[in-house]
This record gives sequence, structure tokens and C-alpha cells, in this order.
Amino acid sequence: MNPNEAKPTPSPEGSPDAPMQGHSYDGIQEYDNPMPGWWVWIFWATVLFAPFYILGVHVFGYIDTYQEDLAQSEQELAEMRAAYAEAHPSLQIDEASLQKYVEDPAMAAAGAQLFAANCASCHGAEGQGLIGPNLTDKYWIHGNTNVDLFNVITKGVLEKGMPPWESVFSVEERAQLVAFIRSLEGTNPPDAKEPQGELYE
Amino acid sequence: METKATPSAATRPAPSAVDVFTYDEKIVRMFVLATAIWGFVGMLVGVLIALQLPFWPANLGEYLTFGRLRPLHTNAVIFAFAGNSIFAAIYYSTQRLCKTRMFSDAMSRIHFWGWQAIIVAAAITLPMGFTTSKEYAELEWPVDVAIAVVWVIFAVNFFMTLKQRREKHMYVAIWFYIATIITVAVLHIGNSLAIPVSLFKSYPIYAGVQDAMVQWWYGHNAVAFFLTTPFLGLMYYFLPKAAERPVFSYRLSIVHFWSLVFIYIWAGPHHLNYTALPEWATTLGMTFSVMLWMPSWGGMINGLFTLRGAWHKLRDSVVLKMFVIGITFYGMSTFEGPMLSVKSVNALSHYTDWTIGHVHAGALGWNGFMTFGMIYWLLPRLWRTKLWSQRLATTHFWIGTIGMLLYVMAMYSSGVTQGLMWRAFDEAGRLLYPDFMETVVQIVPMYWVRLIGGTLYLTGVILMGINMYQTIKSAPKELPDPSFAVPKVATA
Repeated sequence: MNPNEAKPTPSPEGSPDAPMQGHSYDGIQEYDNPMPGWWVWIFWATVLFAPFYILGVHVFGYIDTYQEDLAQSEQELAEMRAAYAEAHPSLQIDEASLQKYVEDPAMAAAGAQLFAANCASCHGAEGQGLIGPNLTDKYWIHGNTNVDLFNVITKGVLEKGMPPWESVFSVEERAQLVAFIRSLEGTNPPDAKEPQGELYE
Repeated sequence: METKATPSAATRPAPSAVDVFTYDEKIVRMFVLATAIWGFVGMLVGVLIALQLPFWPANLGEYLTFGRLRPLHTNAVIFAFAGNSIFAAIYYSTQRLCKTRMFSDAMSRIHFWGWQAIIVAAAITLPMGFTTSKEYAELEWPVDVAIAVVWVIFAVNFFMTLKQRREKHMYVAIWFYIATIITVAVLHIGNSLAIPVSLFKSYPIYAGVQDAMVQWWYGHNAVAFFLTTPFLGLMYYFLPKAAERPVFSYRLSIVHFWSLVFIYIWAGPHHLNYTALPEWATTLGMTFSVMLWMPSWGGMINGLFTLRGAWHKLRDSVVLKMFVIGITFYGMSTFEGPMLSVKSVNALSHYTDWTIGHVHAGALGWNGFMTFGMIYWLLPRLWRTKLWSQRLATTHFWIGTIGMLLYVMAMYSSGVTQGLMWRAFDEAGRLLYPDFMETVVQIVPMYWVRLIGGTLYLTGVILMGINMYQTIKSAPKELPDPSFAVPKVATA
């Protein structure tokens, strides 16, 4: 790190033609060539980069901190989502709009695919219940309107292990899942889990 | 002051003023054999775990699953293969560079057998599930104590050897050995401080993020002082020996040695970018990692430039071929390391297979090929015979090179794929691959390519084993330690 090392000063002995006097170890000799200039200068550049970067992040703020980067990215994402929502007006969620999905067999079929890939591991391949509750009987823990089902899918029930799905499924996909789950009622699959929650007739 | 192999050097001083001494070569032969055997075992386990990732039925029973065997693989190749390799290099070159036999043959043997016993203990306890869960420091406290004891015996033996040296100055290789021995002791003891609760369970004295910080101070400097500095020492001895050329620059060796050992020790926090570690610490780790680029390349330059005027020798010398590829991979991975430590690059690469590709470029290329080059150079000298087959050694070189290129290319491709998939959003602002399994399925083909690369590399090691066996078979029955004489120097 001594700046003098950078200057190619040919030493009288050794470099660059003859090896250094007195430097012979088990027959290994050494030249005393100057260090390559590009090597010295890149080293200096990296050394100077350190205070430039440290001061920039932690003192003067001309480089973003992690928190600033994160806030900026989250804002960009929020703008992206808002722009998409504006360009693609989504379904208004109410009992009647969801009921249209429930009555459309194509929507229930689309929901079946999502269910098999994402829900069956906890609720069973036929909705008979495993870790999660049975979805084929008339008992519901968190209400049984279309909107109740939609909300449980959207926000989850974290204390019982049901994850929120709103960042995974679009509004339409969640409505398709509601349609599929509605179609399960009364199917009586084998090995169904015992009823949980309140009876809704 | 040249050493002559016969007492005829004693022309000027009276015969009584002649100092006759021998070098302990048996201990070097023992370490060379241990290097090859553990190298085979460690890499075989590596190939098995590479198979277990794309083909789960290869996870056998409770004990031979990926989670238990992965630390066995890393411990075996780092501490058994690379460890025995650097001990062979240190015991061979230190005696010659200091013109003295090792201080104590008994301590050398305790070091050898103690180290092998530690490796066996690791090979038993890790599959059984005894682990501290600290990466590269998984071994439980009784084994940690044994490592510390054996290492201190090694250190005493080494420093007493330096003390009784007949050479006034210490050659650069010795500096690197000194840095290795002192720092590894400090790192190992510092990171392993723990309170035992039973024979095979202990808890570290550090908690939470401090434990993580100490762990990666250790982990990063295991790379620095177990896989870098001793191998630079190895290079500084065996490369000019094999090339029969003087070292390029003494002053470069001074500057890059001191800058390397000073800067390396600060770089650990880059392993904890974007974690609970305070940001100032990761900033420090990143800037020191960037500063480490040129000190690392100083070693590469001094290695490659030493070959000026000797490049034609590469055609016939498998040793030099191995060294050149080894040093080139060292240069590549020590550029890549600082680059990966930069936070914005790390945001893409962290937790992906890119890291696996990076460490294997260093381990297979630098540690592996420097070791192979040293072994091919030592074989005819230690066993006083000819290498059984140059062609087989050259085949090892090519097969190993191709294998490791396949390995690192597969991991780079898989790592970048993972990193890009994890952060991909669709036009609605939702994760494009919310299901982690999608990103796993995507990289399975790369796991197969990695398996092919690793198998080729292991095949090369098996060829080396055959070559070693045949060479040693042709060795003379008696291998007396070489004897030397120098004029007696009045030691202060």
C-alpha cells in the first residue's frame, strides 16, 4: 500500500535481468520486478471506493440504504399493481357476483385445477379434509356465504395454519375457487373428516 | 550458501565445522497418501449427494441422506483432502526452505495420526446426526477440542523448526504458512467456543446475530486461511521448482501477502448481506471484499508471471499444466468473490446455486489442481522412481478440466435461473413463480449436468490413484531420508 511501490524503480541488483542477491531458498530465486501498474492502480481504486461507498450509504446518503431501496421497490410495485387494476377492472366482490361464478360449471372446473395444485395437500384431493377442515359437509367454521369463503381464501386464518392467498391468486381465481368449493357440498367422499364449526342448513 | 547433497561442500571449513542433517520424508509420504485417499472419499460422497438432489431415492435410510452427507462432503474435502495436502506441502517445503529437519518426529506423527483420527470421528458423527449446525464447523465439541490440541502440536513443531533453521531469511512460502497456522487456530477456537450439555451436544457462547457474525468471520476465513494462504505457500514453493524459474517479483509478494492477510479477515459479513445483521457491518464486509480483489490477484500474477520464458515447458509437464489451470481458476474465483459480495449482485445470487458454482471453481480448480500438480511433482522424488504413466496423468488433467467446467457452468446457469425466477413479477405485480417447487423443477436438468461434471472429476482422481499405486510399486524397498551437509554457522 506504499505509494512508492508503484514506481517502477529498477533496483541495481535483481530486477529485471538478474535474480536478487542473497535470495535463494532450496534453489528458488527471486526477481524484484516492479508491481504491474494496472495492478497497483486498481488496488488504489478499490481502496478509495471503500470510504466513498461507506460515507455514501451511512453518512451523506448519496447511496440508498437497504430500507430506502426496499421502500422504493415497494412503491414501484404498488404503482404497477394500481396501473394493472385500472386497466383490468376486477370483479366487484359481493354475494351476487360470486354466485354467477358458482352457477357456471366452467368456473368450477377452473377452480378444481387450482384446488388440486394448491389446496388438496391440506384439504384433501376431494375436499374431504386432512389438516384443514372438510369442505364437503354443511359445517363451516368461518361462515358459509360466498363472501365468507372468498375472504378466508384471501386473508387466510393464520392462527389455524390457513395461509393468505391474495398474493398468489387473482380475484378471478379466488372466485373460481369459491365456485369449486360450493360444488363439493354434499359429495360425501370416503374418509371425510368429522364436522367442525356450525351447521348451516 | 548452496546446499550440496554430499559432504564435499566442506572444502573451506574444517571437517569438524560441518553440519550434517536429514529431512523427514516419510511424514510427507504419509500425508500425500492420506491426501489421495481422503480426496477420493470426499469426492465420492460429493458425487453421491449430487445424485441425491435430482434423484431422491439415492437418499438411503436415516444416515445417508443429503442433510447428513453434505457436511460430511465439505468436511472431507476441506479438512481431509485439502488439509492433508497442505500438511504434505508444509512438511516437504519447510524443511528444505529452512535447511533443517522438522523439530520433532514424534510431534509430526501425533499431528498425522491425530488429524486422521479427527477425520474418522467426523465421518462417524456427522451421518449419525451430531452437529453444531454451523457450516464448516459442524463437528461437536469433543472433536473441536481434539482439533485444537492437534493444531497446537503442529504449530509448536512448525515454529520450533523455524527457530532451528539454517537459512537466515524466511522465504515467502513460509510467511503464508505462518499466517495459516496462527489464524486457523484463532478462528477455530474463537468460533467453537461453546458450553457442553452432554458428550455430543453443546451450545455456542454467542447468541443470535452475534453467533451468525462469528460463524461467518470463521467461515469466510476458513476459505482464506485454510484454502488460500497455505495453497499460495504451496504455489510459491512448487511452481518455481517445477518451472525452474525465479519468482517474478519479491516486492509484489510482500505487498500482496500483507494486504491479503490484513483485508481477508474483515470480509466475512458479506455472507450475511440482507439478513438481520446491521447494515453497516455488511457494508464493511462488502467494501473489504472489493479491496481483496487485487491482493488475491497479486498471487495469481506472481504465479503466472513466474512462467515467463517457461511457457514452452507446459507442453511436456503435467505438473505445470495443473498449476496453470489451478492459478487461473484462483484468479477467476477471486474476481467472482468480490463481485458476489457487492450487495446488488448478492441480491440476485444469494441462496442460489451460483454460490455452489463459485466455491467449486475455487475448490476443484485451485485447491484440487494445485494439489494434483504437487502430487505429480512429489511422486517421483519422494519414492525415488519414475512416474508410472505421463499419459495417464495428462488424461487426468483433461478429464478433470472438462469435469470442472461442466460443473461450474451447470451451477452458474442454475443459480442465475433460480435468482431470476424468485424475483420475477407478472404484469399484475404478482410473483410469477409463487410456488417454490416451480423453481426447483426448472433446475433439475442442471443438477444432472453437475453430476456428470463431478463424476468426470472423480474419475480423474481415480486415474491419479492408479498412477500413484503403480509408481509406488516400482519404488526401491529402502527410502532413507536424504542427508545434507552445510558449513556450520555460528548461531546466535
